[in-house]
Amino acid sequence: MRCPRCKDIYLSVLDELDAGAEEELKTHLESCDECKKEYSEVQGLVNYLRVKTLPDIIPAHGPQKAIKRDGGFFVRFFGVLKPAVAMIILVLLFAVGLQLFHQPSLSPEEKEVVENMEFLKDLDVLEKLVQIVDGTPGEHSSICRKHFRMAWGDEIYSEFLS
Amino acid sequence: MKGGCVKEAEADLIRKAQKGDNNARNELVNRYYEKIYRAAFRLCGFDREVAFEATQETFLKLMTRLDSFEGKCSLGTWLYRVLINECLQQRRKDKIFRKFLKAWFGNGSNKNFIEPSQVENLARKEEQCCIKKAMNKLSKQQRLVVTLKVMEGLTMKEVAEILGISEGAVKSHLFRGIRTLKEELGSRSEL
Ligand SMILES: [Zn+2]
Repeated sequence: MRCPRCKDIYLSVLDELDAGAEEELKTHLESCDECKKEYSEVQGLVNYLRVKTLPDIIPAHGPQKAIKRDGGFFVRFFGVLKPAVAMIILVLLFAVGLQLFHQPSLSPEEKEVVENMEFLKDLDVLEKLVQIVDGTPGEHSSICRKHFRMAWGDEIYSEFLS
Repeated sequence: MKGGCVKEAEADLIRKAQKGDNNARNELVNRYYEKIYRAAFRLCGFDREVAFEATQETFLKLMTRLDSFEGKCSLGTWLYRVLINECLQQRRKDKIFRKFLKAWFGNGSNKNFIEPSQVENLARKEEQCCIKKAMNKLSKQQRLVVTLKVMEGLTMKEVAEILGISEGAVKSHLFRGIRTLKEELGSRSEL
């Protein structure tokens, strides 16, 4: 618009124009169509903005809850995250479960190897036993007892040997 | 005179609330809750969930900081200031994260809201979407001034106090803001 009154128009529409200037503007509007049009447009815009931006509903959540609902940062954060956290935990549990229950199926040959491995662990103990039985049992009796127990887990045999 | 009475009654209420009077506290919240939620809705891009969060945070801050409230400004001004900070933070906050949660875990049809009829809702949302687009063309200051002055209907003086700027600055942001919005929304607002 060419007429320099637009600021007064804005202020008038927003109830911020002082009485003197308001009077002056009214007189001007009677004689200026351009400003009249501008005035009605600005008024339309302001009304439109006021009405259309109203929230459709005020939350039913009362103000009392606003006070009580003080969970602090963590509660609020994890409140939002609840479903996400549940998902992560589920996935983790699933992964751990897979690891635990996943038994590699062995062929008969492989099983034999595994059993032999168990036996080899005790080989060193047996070697010592052979030494003891063949040699002088006196100084080895304590080791003998210990190793016997370790090898077979049976006390009777170790007592018998000593 | 009337303003003075209102202020005095409010100061009395604040004193009682500071001493731990629960009724006074509730009364304070009741007095401002709707006003603050409405402003939050307008400041947070018409997203009611975000507006609700910001409103809750504002009143939590009021309750936790009430003891240190000295009454240098009115309670309304103080609440608006806290709210604006909250809304700016909410806007900044991981919008993508929120969207992700919404997309994957659904909206959870928030219990805080009762849905109005769908047709009414759709038309309203469309209008608000247009207004939001137009508002996004404004600077942050212009947006704040337009929201507080045009939509909320506060006085220039109140807006200046809330934003901590001069009334002249408020006016200049306002004029520019309105001009831009008129260009963007002119045809709609004439309907
Ligand atoms: Zn004119």
